[in-house]
Amino acid sequence: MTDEQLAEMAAAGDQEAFASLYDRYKQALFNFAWRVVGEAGLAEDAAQEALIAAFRHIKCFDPAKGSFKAWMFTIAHNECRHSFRLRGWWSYSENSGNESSGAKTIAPDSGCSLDEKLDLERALKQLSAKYRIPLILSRLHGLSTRECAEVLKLSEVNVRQRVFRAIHRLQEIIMTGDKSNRE
Amino acid sequence: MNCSEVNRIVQSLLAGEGGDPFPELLEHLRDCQGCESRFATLLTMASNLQHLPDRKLPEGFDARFWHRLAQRAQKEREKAWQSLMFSIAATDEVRWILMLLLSIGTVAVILGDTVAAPRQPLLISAANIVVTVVALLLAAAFVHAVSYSDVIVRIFRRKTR
Repeated sequence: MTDEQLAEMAAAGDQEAFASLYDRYKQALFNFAWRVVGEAGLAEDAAQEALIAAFRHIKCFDPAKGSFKAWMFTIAHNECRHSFRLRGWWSYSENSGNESSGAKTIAPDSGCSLDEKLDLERALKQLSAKYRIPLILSRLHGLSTRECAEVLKLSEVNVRQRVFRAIHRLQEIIMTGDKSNRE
Repeated sequence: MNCSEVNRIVQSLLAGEGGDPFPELLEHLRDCQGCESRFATLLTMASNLQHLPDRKLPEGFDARFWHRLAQRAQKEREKAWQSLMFSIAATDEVRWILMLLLSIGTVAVILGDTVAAPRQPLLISAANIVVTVVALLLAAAFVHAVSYSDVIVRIFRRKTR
């Protein structure tokens, strides 16, 4: 069953449908929030608030306006911004990403080596939110350019450029890190 | 395929569009050293990003979520009841009836002593009139405060946020 069908059932008062949506999104939203705010406690708050907001406003979801996934991530993104605003931080670019990334992660099934992953994770944290968030949405959560544009209220061209620059910047950060390690 | 085309395609690929790099593009990257040095690493990195591990959910996440949701629902029910009461109090009819009852009550209390003690002459002094007027004004202010307390509470909450 698709997310949109489940959302329709949840809007009609089916709590089981909402529970299914919760199971589908809890991990993704927590991960997204954690990579945006950089702290597990704040990330849990943001993810849970996003899920609660989705539950309360599920009737407002309109499949004609976009996918359920984009809608869910829009709420989560707003919650992350809200959690920073509450703490009086104007920008959440430099304040995030302070926790160690190695701990408490689920073992990946495939891909690059562990060192490469740690390098990537570290480099990701050094990116400013402007570039990090589109990259996280598109590469880590598989949102399409259109969906990213919807979440971030940007044009599709803008999203594409930011993702491109983000990956470029990641490469630079990793290369600089490698150089300084060698030195 | 020329380099500017490759640039455009790579941007789309990096944004997650169009699946994996297709043979024509790979061929260009093999032949063109400029594009190869510019894009090959980026494409590998973009693909590696997808394999970053998930952060494990904190223990008790589910329990805390359902508890939070139940708490929020309870709060909303209370709020709905409160706003129903406020909206009833805020209607003009109810306000006027309350005003009238309070006014009658206030006058009755002030004149009560005189009625209870009939031997003493009815004293309509300036002080008595002033006290009655002040009491009426206080009653009106109280009724209005009750009517608009919902608004006051909301403003207060916004400020404390």
